[in-house]
Order: sequence, then structure tokens, then C-alpha cells
Amino acid sequence: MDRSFKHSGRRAFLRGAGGAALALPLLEYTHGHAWAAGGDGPLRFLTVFCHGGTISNQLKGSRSDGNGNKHGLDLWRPADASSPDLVLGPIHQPLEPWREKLLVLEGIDNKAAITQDQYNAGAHGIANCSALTAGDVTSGDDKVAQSASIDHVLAQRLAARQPVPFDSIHLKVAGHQYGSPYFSGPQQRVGGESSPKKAFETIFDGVTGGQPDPAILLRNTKRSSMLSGLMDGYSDFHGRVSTRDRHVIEAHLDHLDALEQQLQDPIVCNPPEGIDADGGAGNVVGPLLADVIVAALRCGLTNVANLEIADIISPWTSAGGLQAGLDIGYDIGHSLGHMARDIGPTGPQSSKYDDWVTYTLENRRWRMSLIARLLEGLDDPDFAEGDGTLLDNSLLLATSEFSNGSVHSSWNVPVLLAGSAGGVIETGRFLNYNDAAASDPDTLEYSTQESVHNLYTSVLQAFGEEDTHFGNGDAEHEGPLPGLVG
Amino acid sequence: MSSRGGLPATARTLGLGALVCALTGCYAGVQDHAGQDGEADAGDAAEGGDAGEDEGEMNEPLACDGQSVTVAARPMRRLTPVQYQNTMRDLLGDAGFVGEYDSAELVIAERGVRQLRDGAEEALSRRDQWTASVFPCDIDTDTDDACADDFIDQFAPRAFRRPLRADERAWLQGVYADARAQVNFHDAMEVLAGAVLQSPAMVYIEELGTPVEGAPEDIRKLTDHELASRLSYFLWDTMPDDALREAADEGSLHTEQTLRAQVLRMMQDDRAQARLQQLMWTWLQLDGGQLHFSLEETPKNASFYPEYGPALQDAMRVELEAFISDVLTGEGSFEQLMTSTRAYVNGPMAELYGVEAGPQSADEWAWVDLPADQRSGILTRAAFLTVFASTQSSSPIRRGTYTLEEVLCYELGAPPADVDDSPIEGGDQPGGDAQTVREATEARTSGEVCSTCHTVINPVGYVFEHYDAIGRWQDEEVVTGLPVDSSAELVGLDADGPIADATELSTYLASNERARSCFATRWFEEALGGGVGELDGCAHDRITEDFTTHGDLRELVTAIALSDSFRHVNLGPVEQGE
Repeated sequence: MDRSFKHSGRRAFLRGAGGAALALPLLEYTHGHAWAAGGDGPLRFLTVFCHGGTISNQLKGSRSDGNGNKHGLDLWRPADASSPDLVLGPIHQPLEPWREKLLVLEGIDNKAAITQDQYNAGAHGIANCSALTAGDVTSGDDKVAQSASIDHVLAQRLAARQPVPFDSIHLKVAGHQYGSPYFSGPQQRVGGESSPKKAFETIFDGVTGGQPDPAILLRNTKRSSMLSGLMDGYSDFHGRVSTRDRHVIEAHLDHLDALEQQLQDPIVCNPPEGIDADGGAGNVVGPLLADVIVAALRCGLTNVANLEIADIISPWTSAGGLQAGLDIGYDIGHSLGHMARDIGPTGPQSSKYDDWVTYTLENRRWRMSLIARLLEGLDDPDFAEGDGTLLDNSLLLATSEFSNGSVHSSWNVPVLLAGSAGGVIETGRFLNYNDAAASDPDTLEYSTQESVHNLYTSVLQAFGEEDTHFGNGDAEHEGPLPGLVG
Repeated sequence: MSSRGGLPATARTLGLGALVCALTGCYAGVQDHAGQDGEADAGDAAEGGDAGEDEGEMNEPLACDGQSVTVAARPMRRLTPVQYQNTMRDLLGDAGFVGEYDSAELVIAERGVRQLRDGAEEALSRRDQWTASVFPCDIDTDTDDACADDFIDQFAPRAFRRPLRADERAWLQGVYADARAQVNFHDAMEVLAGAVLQSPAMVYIEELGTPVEGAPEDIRKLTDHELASRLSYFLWDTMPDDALREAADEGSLHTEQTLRAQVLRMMQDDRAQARLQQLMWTWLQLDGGQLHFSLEETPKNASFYPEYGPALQDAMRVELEAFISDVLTGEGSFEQLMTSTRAYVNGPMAELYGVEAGPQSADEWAWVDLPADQRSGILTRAAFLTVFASTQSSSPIRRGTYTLEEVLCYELGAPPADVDDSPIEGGDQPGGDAQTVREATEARTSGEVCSTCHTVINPVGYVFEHYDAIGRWQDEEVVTGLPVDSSAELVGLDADGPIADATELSTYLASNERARSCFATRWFEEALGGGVGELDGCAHDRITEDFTTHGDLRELVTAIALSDSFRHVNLGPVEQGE
């Protein structure tokens, strides 16, 4: 295993003349890199993963028209699918201020999930493990992916050319879900931090707007010494354990290396204030997590940020009062998404239809409000990077393991993109890969050649990587999505 | 939120009786360990890519001939969060230490490694709370490097749970020296201690063993120290205590006499009670899973169940814990677990169970006998019945599925992706008569695709119909007022005639070979830290056969500890295709 040292380049990068850490203008927050010098800004990647699907009429390879059971609404897709410009659909309304920097994609399946699911739909477990990996999933009860997720792969590539303390950060709004979709390697599932306070303390550890705290410097010296000793100890252990267990210790060594990476020259940046909550309801925790992400990216603490949102119910939204009338408990069958199977404009539960639509829409819009908060921070002109904003140098991907969660469908998964990855993606568009939509954009027919494999290949290519394929062999074709990356 | 239990599905069947034929989607990969399913075995061996001499043995039925040691391969483990916290507390003599380490995933993530670092630093910051002897000098006032050597010799073996190797000693001396070159004595000692607390021998359960004459190279006998660790983490969820450690140091732990004595001693300790209690609680899935809430979070419809709330939920927990504890410290038999009518109740619980001459208030607790015509052992208690029900009604499907999978070790496959899994409440049906929960369940699951599994699941669930959503006895359904019918004919299980209700089911299960074997297998897996494999066949057979005969929990634990599978390790590739 090649364990090359990742941080040697970064020391040079962060040191100015005479070896002193760069002193930077102290704004409210500030960049951890010197922007004044001009040139290309570093690129960033964000994922927002919303568990449980969205309001979609996708039922495996077909679409429902909403007569009676299995309602036919698709509130994710653009309100006007024929328009040459992107016209945001109902769920995306909170994102209207950034419409020109967004893309909505339709007709992308998760073929890895569909192929590996015995019912050809997606399924819990399998869909979660393959949503971001487009890869093989283990069999048996406790499923895990056999490969790394797109965020991790890209984080490693970016860290090689844009050295940062944290290759990536991963925060989550905790709640019911069927397993984190994030993997740092085969069978190495990664869980997010759900406490804003802990996330802040970890990510901004030692970061100050002025001189480093001597106590922190001493602590870091001790940590570095401990880590160095541990790496020797674990390397030795690696040679002693059975061959089949070596990958476990290799992972451990990688993480020790990552911790050491975080000890290198402290970033000079004013940390955000007020990130005090250790937990709480989603409407308390969510915005704080988004703020931590924005600050971390601005300060150059990472290149890749993941925000994971569990399948939570949102009683604090304006429609939250409808929850009781809809009798939404935790019971799986009664949870918000699963009602889509039974509540339609006609049929035995039609009396609940309007309320269900209202509440679910508000629930999905609340998730979008967290994306809005991210976009607002990233697109803030006070933190310009060259001619654009941080958002212009980023790509944000919002998706889910399901389209229609009530039937566990990984066909036509929801995909929203924001940012142009440094100008290589033309934004403000709706890209519809549904073959049948060419003649009728609102058709209920559905077939596609595209899969998440192709989406993630496009993502890598957008960041200048040369991969021709991402994921396993379940996609219809290799290569990127046609027409996405310029 | 996490998946249930954390243990992989049982790899072996119990090889008992006729199983319902596997049609599409119902049973997932059931294998007959007696080798009847030869094709599957051959295929699995090929996929697994096991090298070495035992490949042929994997395809054959395993003879328990007492001559050759066999044991299946399982991945190396590291301390669970509970084990880590207990170990740190015991190592440092700091009962108040709280570790934030919560890493339970297969391969440790960066977050877990960070938590181990933070845990070591946290422990060091609490130095004045330590009651164990850790630093052999006063690191605030002394400055003698010899203290580091003494620390290495005295503390590191305790932390590593075995004597140090010479190269390890040199390594730790190097850690100290490197630190001392950068910081003062006090800080260097802290670096050394911190490194020890995060070392692989501390964090991982190291099992490398020694060669076994006549056995394949990968099959190794655990050293006495490794055996001590395995025992103490199985029975106590913590590091070996001094007495166990001494038996290992003396080199006598592996003898049958010493091993039996130690197991007996450890079983009588409170730590075993706590650990086995937790094992039972996890078995019952009462801390929640993907498809159901924990007992504490389970919501119920307030209009039907006005007495339900945090106080009653808490009382249910206390009642069930007391019941389990009573079994573990008392007779300790499977029979008692399944059929004893003793219950520790307060006023509200007595009322729930219909016990009139018992405690009246919520603060008053006493042991009573529950009505034998309504109650039996663990599967008829409120905590279990509450978790496996919907907000309004009983749930025959949930109770039936649980019982089949966890008590009888049936492997049920996944239901179709678009199945309607909303709770079945019974009551008025559109355009038809009111239905009981049972009738509504039958109606929903009688379709062709559903019936393969549900002809087996449903009867097991129907016998529980006399218990409502919080486990109260109901002659008429709370939700519909219709009379309850709990009599059911079990399918694919070998019962004499229909089962009238859950008390009869409990009696049936108490002496049922498959149930006993399943239970024993579960404890065996807990002890081994992974799924039972083909190469555990000899030990597994002995343990399950014995337990089927005597049903004694203490004997079960002893048999497990004495088994070849427990005392050996297989360092070869792990079997695939489970």
C-alpha cells in the first residue's frame, strides 16, 4: 500500500517568505488561502444527501398519473419542462434567488441499486449503499458498499492538488434512515457528525484570527508525537495480523495520517460564532451545520463538504400542524413518504390528499432551505474569488437514494446541481435524459440510458479529472452524462 | 437508527425438519449444514476463495470426532463502545470516565480514530480521579526517565492485556524518548500514556494464538491471555480482572478445570448479570431497529391507551429487566425464561397485567404471579408486546416475524419493494363489514406473492392477538370491539395441533428443539464475536445438543467457553456467501 505523505506540499503552500505562516486580512471570516494573488481559485465539491426520496411519481420504470392510489405528482421536476430556461418546480422554490446557478436533471437511474435489488426497484440497504458509490453492495443483513463514494474519491484527488487540513467534512441532521451512503473505501462506511458544536470544535480546532494559542501549540506538539509513535505501532501490528485483517489496520493508519494532516500549520481565519448547540430538533441543528460548512470552505479547511439529512418529519414548518390530522407517527407505514402509496386525488384516502401534499411539500422545502442557506453563504459577494464567488468555484450535488420513497424506487433519482465548478458547467438549465421526453416533455413514458455512474463520471471530469467511468458495470454505458460538462 | 444487533445473520441453519420451500423472495440463502445442498456449498467455497487444506472439509458434513480442531474464520474485532468505556474505567480505576467513542462500524472510520485520541486526552485530564496505579511516579514533580521504563513495564501489559514483547518495549521507550526531546517530562509521560491507551493491542482484540500440532496453519490455539480477554469481553464486556489475569499469567487458564472455575466465578459477578441482561435486551430488539422504535420512543394512540407514557414505558423496562435478572440469578433455564409467570410490578404494571392483589401505586414495587391463563414468560410481557405493535393495534406480522427470525432462527427474505406496509388497524372496511386485525391481516397478505411467507408468519403472530398495542389482555379488540381469535395452526413447525394463544406458544417454544438451538447459537455467536461458520460445526453441534437437552444458561456459557471454537482462532479468509 502506498502511503505517500500528503502534507509536504502544503507546508510550502501555506508558508510565506521566511517560513512564517501567512498573515491575512482579517474579515468577519476570511479565506485560509491568499486570494489577492489572483489566478484560479481552488475548486470545491459539496453533497447534500436527503434520505427517503422526494415527491415523485416514479414507480420503477413507469410514472403514475395520480388516479386513486399512488399519486402522480412530481414536485421535484421543473414547473415548466418545455422552457429553455430552468423554471423551478414547487420543491425548489426556496432556491429561486440562485436559479441561474442551478441545474435540475431528470432521467438518471441508480442502475447499481436496480440491478442488485431482487425486485428491480432499489430497496433499502442496497439503494443507500449504491446511491453515491454506483457500486457493488454486500449481500446479507448488514449491507455495505464495496467501493468508495464519489465525495471521498474526489476529496482525495482535490487534496493532492489543493492541500487542506481535512480532505472532507461530513455533517448530518440525524434521524431515521437506512444507513449512511458515504463510504471511504470498501466496506468502510462513514457516519456524519450530528452535533454542530462538536463539528465546529473538531473542524475549527486551533483556528484563530490571530496568533496561535501557545496551549494549542503545545497540545499539537504532543499530539503529533503521539501520532508518530502510534503510526509506528500500527505499522508493526499491520505486519503481524492475518492477511485478511490487514485492510482494517491500513484504514486505521490512513486515519492516523489524516489526524496528523490536521495538525499542520494552523489556519489563520476567524471562526464563526454561535455554534453552540450540541443537538436538538432539525430546525435548530440544520442551519448551524450549514453555517459550519460555509465557514469551513471559506477558511480553506476542506475542499469537500457533505451534508446528510435523515428522513425526518418537520413539525416546525408552516404546515406542521397538519401532522396530527394525517396521523403521522414514526410507524414506517405511516411516515410521510409512505403515504404516497395510498393517498391520491381519488380513492379511499382522497380526503387527506390536499393536506398530505401541503405537508410533504413543506417538509421537502425545509430540506431545500438548508441548501438555500449553503448557497447564500457560498454565493456571498463579500467573499469574492477572482471574478466570481465561492459558489462559482464549486459544484453542489443534492440527491437521494430514492425518487418515490414509498415504493423504494431508485429509478429517476432526484438530482439538483448548483455552481459551475469554475465555469465548466453551464447552469440555469433543465436536462432531461428521459428518452421519451424528447417528443413530449411531460410524458408519463419513461426510459433512459443514464445512471448515477455517468453523473459521477461527469462530476470527476468537471473537476479536471480524466476518469472515463465511475462505479461498477451496471450502467447502460460508460462515460459522462451527455451535455452536462462543457 | 442503527441496524439491529450488529451481528451478522446466522450462517448455518439448524438442519431441522422440513422448511417451507423457498419460492421467490421469501427465504434468503438458507443452507443445510448437513450438506444436502451440495451445489450451494461448492459454489460458496469457490467464491470464498479459501486456500489451504480445510477447503475439502468445508464441503463435507462435519464430524465431531474429537480428534481434529476446527474453527471458522471471523474478522478481527476491536472493542465496542461499551467495551472501550468499561476497559478505560477499569484500567484507570475511574468509574466516572465517559468515552465518546461510538464507533461500531466494520472498519474504523476517521471519526472513531479521532474519538480514541480524544478519549485518551480526556482520560489524562482526569488524572486526579484515577484510583488505579498508573504512573509509578509523580509526573508533576519527578523528572527521572526511569519512571517511563517503570510505567512501560507495569502499565502497558495491563493495557495490552498480555506481557510485552521486547520489541514493543523498545517501541514505547522510543515514543517516550521522541516526546521527551520536544517537551518536558510531565508532557512526555502524558504522550507515552496516551499512546498506550490508543495502541492496537488495547483497541483491537488481538488473537494470533500459537500453532496447533496436526492442524492447518491458519488454525491457532489462543494464548491464555487471549483466552482471558475473550472470556472477559464475552461475559463482562470489559478487560480481565486481576484474578483472571493471574490465571493467564500462570499459564493454567486453558485447562478445563481452571476454565470452568473461572467461568463459574465470572457468571456470579454483577458484571455478568449486566452483560447478559444487555444480550437479552438486544436479542429482543427493544432498543429499536430500522423498522421499529425503541421502547422509550414507541408512540401509542392516546385515546386508546391513555395510561401509556414515559412513566409506564419506564415501568415496562424495569419489569422486564427484573424478570431477566430473576432468570439469570435464579434457576437460569430457558424454560423459566419462556414460561415463568413471576413478575416485578408496580401499581400501573399490575393493572396492565390484571393483577388485583398487588401494588397499587407507581412507587410501590413487588413480585407477583401473573395470571397463568393469560401470561407466561418473556414473549408475553408488556415491553416486547409494545414494541412489536402499531400505535393502535396489535401487529401479528411484526410479532410473528420477530418470533420466527429471532426465536426460531428462520431466515425470512425481504418483502416486495412496493408492498403496503402501513399498519393494519382492522375496523371498518370500505364497502364491507368491520374486520378484526387478524381478518384484515389475512386479507392483505393472502395474495400469491405474499402467501409464501405469510402462511408461515401469520399463524405465529395470531397467537399474540389477545394482547393489545401495549400488551394488555383483550378479549375484544380495543380498536374494533370485535372478539379476538388467537388460535392458529403453525405451518412448517412441528407442533401437535393448533396453538390456542401465546401462553401455549411459549410452552411449545420452551421445549422446542429449534428454539433452544437458536438461542444457544445466538449466545455462541456473541461469544465468538461473529457468525457461526461451517468449521464451527463440531462445537456448534455439541453446544446446541447439550442446550436442547438441559436448557441451562450457565451450562450453556460453560460449554461455549470450553468449546474448540472459543479456544481457537482461524486466521484464514472469512467464508463468503452468507
